[in-house]
Amino acid sequence: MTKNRLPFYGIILAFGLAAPFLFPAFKLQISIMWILVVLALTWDVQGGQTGYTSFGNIFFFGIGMYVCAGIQIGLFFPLAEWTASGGEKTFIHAPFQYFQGIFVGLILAGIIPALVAATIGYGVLGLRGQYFGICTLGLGIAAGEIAGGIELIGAGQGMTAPPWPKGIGGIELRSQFFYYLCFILMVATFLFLKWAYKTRFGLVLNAIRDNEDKAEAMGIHTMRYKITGWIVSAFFLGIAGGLMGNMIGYIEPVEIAFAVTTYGVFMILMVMLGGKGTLWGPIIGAMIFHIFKEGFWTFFLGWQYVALGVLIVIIVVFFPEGIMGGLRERYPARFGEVVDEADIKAQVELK
Amino acid sequence: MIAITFTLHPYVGLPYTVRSFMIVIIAGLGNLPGVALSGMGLGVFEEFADYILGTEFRIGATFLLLVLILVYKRFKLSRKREYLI
Repeated sequence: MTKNRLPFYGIILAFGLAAPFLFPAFKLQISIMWILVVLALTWDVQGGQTGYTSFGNIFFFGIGMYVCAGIQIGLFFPLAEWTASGGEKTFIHAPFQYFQGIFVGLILAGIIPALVAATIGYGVLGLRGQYFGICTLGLGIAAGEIAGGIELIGAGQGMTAPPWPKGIGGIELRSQFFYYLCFILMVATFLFLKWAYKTRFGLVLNAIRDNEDKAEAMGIHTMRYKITGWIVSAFFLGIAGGLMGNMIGYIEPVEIAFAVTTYGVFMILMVMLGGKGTLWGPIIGAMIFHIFKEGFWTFFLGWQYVALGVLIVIIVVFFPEGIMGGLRERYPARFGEVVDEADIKAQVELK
Repeated sequence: MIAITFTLHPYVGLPYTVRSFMIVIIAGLGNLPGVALSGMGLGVFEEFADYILGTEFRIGATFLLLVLILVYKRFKLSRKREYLI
């Protein structure tokens, strides 16, 4: 099985590495697509594998964004003066300072959301069903509104991420640099989750999804595993947020950082489209969703959200299990499920 | 009434949805006098949050109160090993 898939991985890796040279005009779009893949993969840890429909995972995305930009600036210059100056660039990063800042910033953008997830996880993950969804939704929106009130990080007018330093190549090099960072992040997230789902951790998450009370009665500390899952999500989401903030260059609390109504909902839709609880589902879903979304923005401008709504209805009506879920129902043998021919025949006769 | 008092835009709905949900959660489902009381309580809380924290934190404080109430109820119920379902 693994031997058959090696060329497949090779094709994706080759596409990812060569894409900025093959489609130079779409570099930013493809990097955002990798970020969306990361969002879908990390949401699937909660929504698909554990069965906890979270509406507030975007919370960690926003924290990562603010932490990364704040550290990049705060390491060398006073943060308050930077944000007070708005768009005017009073301070300029030297190339070495810039790369040092982005290295430290991205690492802390992963660690600090993970710590936040560990702290609030015990309280929030004890809720179940709709209450968990509502609670996380409240968390995401509250974070956006509160971030819009703090003067140090720019309040409602937002803050600018450090601009690309002068003297080491132009805008072309910048977009290539961020493209490869996004691609590396996507590959790292995918490989980590692929490994994690194979271990006891993944099995416990699926046990929680199927029946949490039973899993607890079997002697599994379900809370620990749920919190660990949330920490994993928060870590990768935070780094994705840090990258996104730098790539866009401008961080606004409600529309970009804690965008519950756009990216927070998109990440759920992408997983729904691709198939919940599968490894490849979120990736395929995110790619298709991003292509459709950009198409709508280009060809139906003004009606883009209406077109997106129609797409959502089509997803829910025709692919209730998602693309991978539908394929799995049709070809179960390909997904490693044991097919009992006699049983299938018996079912047909019953009809 | 809201359209008369405040400005109208396509996104007015969400804070009101959350407020109505909060009021029902605090009072308990099906508890009509409790709903009336907790509705008034939320109104008072919002005005105080507006006054003490500042207008920019008004909606944030409402949503944060929702999270805190849900988490508080979860800890209260988990002593009896029950869940909010």
